[in-house]
Amino acid sequence: MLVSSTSACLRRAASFSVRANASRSLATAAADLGFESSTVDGIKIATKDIAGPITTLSFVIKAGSRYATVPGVAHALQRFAYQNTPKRSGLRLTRETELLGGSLTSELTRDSIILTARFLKDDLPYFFEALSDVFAQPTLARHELAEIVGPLLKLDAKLAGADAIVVASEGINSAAYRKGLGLPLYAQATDAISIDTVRAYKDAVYTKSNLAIVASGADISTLSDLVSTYLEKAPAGTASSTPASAFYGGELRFPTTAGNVLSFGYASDVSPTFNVLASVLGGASSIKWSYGTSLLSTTAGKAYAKVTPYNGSSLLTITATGSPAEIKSAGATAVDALKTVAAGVSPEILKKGIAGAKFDALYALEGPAGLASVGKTLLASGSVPAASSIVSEIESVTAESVKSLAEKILSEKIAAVAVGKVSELPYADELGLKA
Amino acid sequence: MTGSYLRTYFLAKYITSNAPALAKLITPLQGFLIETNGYRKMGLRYDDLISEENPIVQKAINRLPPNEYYDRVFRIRRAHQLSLMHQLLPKEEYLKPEQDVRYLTPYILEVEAEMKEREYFDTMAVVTK
Repeated sequence: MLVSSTSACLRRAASFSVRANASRSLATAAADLGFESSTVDGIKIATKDIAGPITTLSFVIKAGSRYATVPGVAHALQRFAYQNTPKRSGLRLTRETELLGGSLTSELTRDSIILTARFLKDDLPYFFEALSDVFAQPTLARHELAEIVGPLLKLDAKLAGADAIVVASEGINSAAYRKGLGLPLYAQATDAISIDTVRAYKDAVYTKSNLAIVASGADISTLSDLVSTYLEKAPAGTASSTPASAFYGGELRFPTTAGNVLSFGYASDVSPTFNVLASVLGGASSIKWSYGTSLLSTTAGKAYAKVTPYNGSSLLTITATGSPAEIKSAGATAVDALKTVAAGVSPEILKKGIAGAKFDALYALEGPAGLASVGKTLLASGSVPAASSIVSEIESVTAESVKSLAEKILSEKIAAVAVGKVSELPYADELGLKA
Repeated sequence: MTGSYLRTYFLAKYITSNAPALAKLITPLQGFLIETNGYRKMGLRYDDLISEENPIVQKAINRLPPNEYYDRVFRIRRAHQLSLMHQLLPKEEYLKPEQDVRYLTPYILEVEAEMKEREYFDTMAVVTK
């Protein structure tokens, strides 16, 4: 009995009729990345109609940890995805997804909560309805927090605490930004997260103005009709405002047995100079069996530079891992690399840096994992990122601006974090930096 | 075992809504039986009497809001003490019919429905059309 009702429901969902929708605005094409974007009922959608049997559908919601009213509530709301809704229970959703074939994931970043479904192309109406229910009307039952979500939050926090690089990253963000972007990503045991807190947060952030729907493998008209069918009843709300992020800096040390990490961070308003400097410093291997020829490549992967683009702020981090002795030498190499850049950047190094930064920036927008970044930009600026403007911004970075950024990092107060055997790890001023 | 509370609940609902003559016959008898049973005279609600030594009711009790749980524990401890002393509460403290709320039954029904759904999914046969 249940099987026939399930398949009938799926057949019904698959045979919905295409309605002309007067509120749908004309779709605009951002040709370089291949996305067509549109706004339906106040919800921004962007889709890449590529060939292939699999569709990836992402709901990107401006509900990341930076908007949390209580630290950790965004983590709880992310973990509440795919639990009970009035239409179907969490168990039923799992079993039906298994029968159809597909995957449902939820992700939390500092800027957004991302709900992703990957499935065969024909199942788009079912999975769109499933994601819409999770977004528009999750039940958020008290017993689910106690029985299902609570233990998952504890597990996430435990796993994060056991990874030294995650601890370092959380520390850098906390020292750099304090509130907002500095709030912890994961709910800690000390946070008082009750079901009412989660419900209040969900009412505040799960609104149409905070939602961007990004898909690859679906066409814009089908998506627009699905939006008007299933998301009409979602609360409209007002977009969460993103306050400007100030950079503070400071030194934090976390004793742990999870491994040793030393990390430095500097943040400022979004600027392509950060991307180019991170690429010039380099360190991470992008070619197998080789660490490349960047300034940090001599550390053989022990030190690397990375730029994290948030909404309204770019954070540059230089991280060193390994044993305390390796970290001391890798840290010294990193400071020498900064001094080299501050002395002047030759045209070849600048060219390599620009090429690396261009590739990294465009690669982050590629594929199913890139949909989240596309959605984040869509929410922040109202339009899909254009590859040509990203490229031209990065190409216009001058050697002078890279030099002055390196000078700033060496002379101003930065954020510094040491994780692991802290008694043997160097302080920032021992390496010549200010923290 | 699963579904026994659901069955009783839906039978009672069926009788009250679809067989009013039968319901009219039974209701005064029900009132008399509750009074002579005397659990209200010991300060208990009807749902305090439900046998809790099974996983369904245990899970339902775990889902009670904290204040309901504390009140339940208080009523049961008070009733144990009275039973020990072979006494009843003073007449003013007898539970009134309005206070005899079926507070645990919704949680039991919810737990049973969930277990039933899981059983259904575990034993279903998939037919491809």
